Amino acid sequence: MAMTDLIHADLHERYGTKAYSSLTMHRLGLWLFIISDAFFFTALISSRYFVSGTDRPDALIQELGLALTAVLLLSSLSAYRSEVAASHGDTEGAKRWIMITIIAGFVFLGGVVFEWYEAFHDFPPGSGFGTTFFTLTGIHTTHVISGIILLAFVYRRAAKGEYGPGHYWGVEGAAKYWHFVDLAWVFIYPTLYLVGESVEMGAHG
Amino acid sequence: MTTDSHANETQRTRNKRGLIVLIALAVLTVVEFFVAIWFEGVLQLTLLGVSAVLKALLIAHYFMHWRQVLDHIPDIAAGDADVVED
Amino acid sequence: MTALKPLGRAILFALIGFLIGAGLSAALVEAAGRDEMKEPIIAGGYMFALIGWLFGVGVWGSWVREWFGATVKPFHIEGWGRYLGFSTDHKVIGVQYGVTTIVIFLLAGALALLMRIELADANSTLLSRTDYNTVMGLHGIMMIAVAVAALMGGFANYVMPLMIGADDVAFPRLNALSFWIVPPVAVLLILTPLFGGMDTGWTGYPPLSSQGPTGNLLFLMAFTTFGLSSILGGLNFLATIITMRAPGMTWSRIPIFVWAVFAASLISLTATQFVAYALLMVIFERVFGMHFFDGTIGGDAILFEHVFWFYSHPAVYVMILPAFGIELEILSHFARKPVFAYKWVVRAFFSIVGLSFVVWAHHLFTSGMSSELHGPFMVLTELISIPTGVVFLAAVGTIWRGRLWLKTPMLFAMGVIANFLIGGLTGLYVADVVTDLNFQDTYFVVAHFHYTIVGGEIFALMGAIYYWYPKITGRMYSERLGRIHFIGMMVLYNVTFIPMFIVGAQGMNRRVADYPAEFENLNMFITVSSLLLGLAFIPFVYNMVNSWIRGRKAGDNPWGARTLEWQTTSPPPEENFETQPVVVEDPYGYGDPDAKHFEFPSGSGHVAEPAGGDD
Repeated sequence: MAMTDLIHADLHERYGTKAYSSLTMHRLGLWLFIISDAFFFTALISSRYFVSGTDRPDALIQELGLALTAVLLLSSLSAYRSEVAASHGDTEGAKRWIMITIIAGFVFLGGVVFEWYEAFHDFPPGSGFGTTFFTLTGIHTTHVISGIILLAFVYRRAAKGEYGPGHYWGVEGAAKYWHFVDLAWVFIYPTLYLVGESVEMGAHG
Repeated sequence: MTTDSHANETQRTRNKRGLIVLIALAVLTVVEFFVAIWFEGVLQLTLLGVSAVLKALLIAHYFMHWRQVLDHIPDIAAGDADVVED
Repeated sequence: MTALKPLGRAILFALIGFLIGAGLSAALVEAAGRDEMKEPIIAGGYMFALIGWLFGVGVWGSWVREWFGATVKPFHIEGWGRYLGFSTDHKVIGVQYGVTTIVIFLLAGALALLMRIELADANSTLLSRTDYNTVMGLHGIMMIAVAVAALMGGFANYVMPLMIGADDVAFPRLNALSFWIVPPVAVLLILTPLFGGMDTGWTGYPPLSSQGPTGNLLFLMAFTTFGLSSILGGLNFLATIITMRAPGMTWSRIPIFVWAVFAASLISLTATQFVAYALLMVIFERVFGMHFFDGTIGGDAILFEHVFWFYSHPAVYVMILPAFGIELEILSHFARKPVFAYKWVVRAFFSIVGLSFVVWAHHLFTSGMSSELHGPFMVLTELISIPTGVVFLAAVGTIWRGRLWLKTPMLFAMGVIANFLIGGLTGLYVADVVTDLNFQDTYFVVAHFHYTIVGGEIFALMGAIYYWYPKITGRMYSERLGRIHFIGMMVLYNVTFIPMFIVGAQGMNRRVADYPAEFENLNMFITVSSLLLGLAFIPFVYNMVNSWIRGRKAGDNPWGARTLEWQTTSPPPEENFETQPVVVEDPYGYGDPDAKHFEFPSGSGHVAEPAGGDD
């Protein structure tokens, strides 16, 4: 494998094209996936304005929204630190920060469960705002859960010592995905909690 | 390759950069929170949008290293002749 | 028997998955005290069945095990059995896609004939109205699936990596996954009539689709699943074309078909997410009781149409762009001339991609959309005829003063030119608001899009099948049967669809089993010619099957074409090329005896025989 790669890189140099490493290929693949998924979130977020305008119900718990954002932003730092640690060969550090990210993910999930429990009374899934609220948070939470599963796999493989300075794509990829989940929330948070006027909405408003 | 431009930095420098970015994100979030209270209408929507885009750029640039992929685009546009990666 | 093991295991796992998913959903429904709701159980069961199916067919053994740090067992079976399992070879996947889509194409064609028989007279005779609607919807969605997957899944998969001199696609396992998502789609669609059918047609507009029988839910889930397959395919092709080109294969040297696949992949990567969301909204309405489209609470049924057409209009370019690529490819090789205005064609492809994202609302001219949007969308839609016209002129320019070699693939490629001209010109009438208000939902629209998709894409698909048949099977098809197929299809196709413009312009509505008696004569004529058109496919099927078994050996490069896929054995070995080819010039240097597209450098091992690259 390595031998043919060497011949390949040499041929590319001789014929004036670029040889792409498999790392670049993986990164490109993940970015394409992220672009694709970003289109999905674009559709989601724009439908919120289409279905329920810009106003938000006063029953939203503002403190909870802010807390969820804070947890997710903090987890983004821990994901970043796990990647940095892995790239410097600091396996223990990588493991520690992945674990912290997973825990932050679970805290976020707990927050969402509480949020949903309250929302079921104030604006149920059948109401105008509830429809978009549950769809947006539901789809985003699905991403959070898949991110946690991904991180758990990466943690296991880090514990087996599979990552080192030159080869830590697993950690990098999982961290990038986690950052994307965070990035999506950066747009979802103002869309659900901050935009427009806080107005009174009944269960069917 | 662009990734490895960070490789000669110490872990500490990079961790510190992560922390600074997080603080910037936190500040922008707090600003958003008060923008929602103090402003209304189109102005509010614009400010929230600008802040969200800024936060997204910070995350994409410092956390997700989008340059790793973006830097390839000029090569693609140039027909990638005479460009040989590392 | 070992060949059937993956399939058997997949079916078993799917059944187990269904029971688990249905059980969990039933428990949840019970807990919520909503015993009357049956659809969440079906939806939950399907999700788990899909996962079970994929794990059983090979995702577990050759992929997910790796995440647990265990060793993976790559799927490896020799002979025909490899087509029945989770093979990661792009050529096997291409054939899997190709055969599957041809079978679906023939089935959906049979459904069309069923509709035509019903439409032979003005009253409902053969089918009840709901059955007619179900047949029409299934014909629509199956043909959409064929149109999206036959060229992109089948031929782009098989030929594109060969054309760029790569040994496989960038993500082979993802490629296999994107194929094995397709069979569950077929199962769901087949089950649709047993669950009450569906009245909505393939567009699935709410509120009808959110209130109709459970058949609608199966249709929506099938379509969403199919979208996932399309997204993964597009992602894979983009990564492959960017990173896996052979040494020397710069962007200005890649064959035009590869450019077309690149452009179409951009659309399937991004826009498909919108249709997934549109369909998910209806699924959420049905399963979770949400309300996106209920005007009384602020929702709006137009929302669905906007989101749906934001994908489904660009999707027609996912269908037609690879067809343009194949058309130009075949014309160039059989006219022995370079592709005319290559760079302008590439620019036109990307203009089409760009414009395709801003024209969707021309499907909403009569839906009650704000009338200020009519003008802009009309102009934008008509703008798209400029790049399309560039491609058309490039096709004509390619054969202009060429020495035409009228083999079956060439005949079909020239058929594309003729048919697409009619399709494109009649498109102006439905893009223009004033005439569209009259033609909306009549047979004029039916005839128009059949001229673009069948006359454009399916003819290109047939051309591609004949063109690459010797490469894929290693055997030559019967030229005589191929010509009979072409003449029959070309004549009867036009005879079938031209009268539809007439009845459409006179006001015959589509999607209805009954119609005013005054249209009966022409409809009888259409029905008879459509049945004959169906017969024209018999020589095709016979030719394909018979030649695969008994055809004469075709040799490596029967057409003397210069692109890389012809410079290896027929069929190609598993690693595609025994020695890595390198590219030195563009592939269309016909007419120049010194031109050469590729060489096999001596430094990289033994030198292979360049097979008939000169002319």
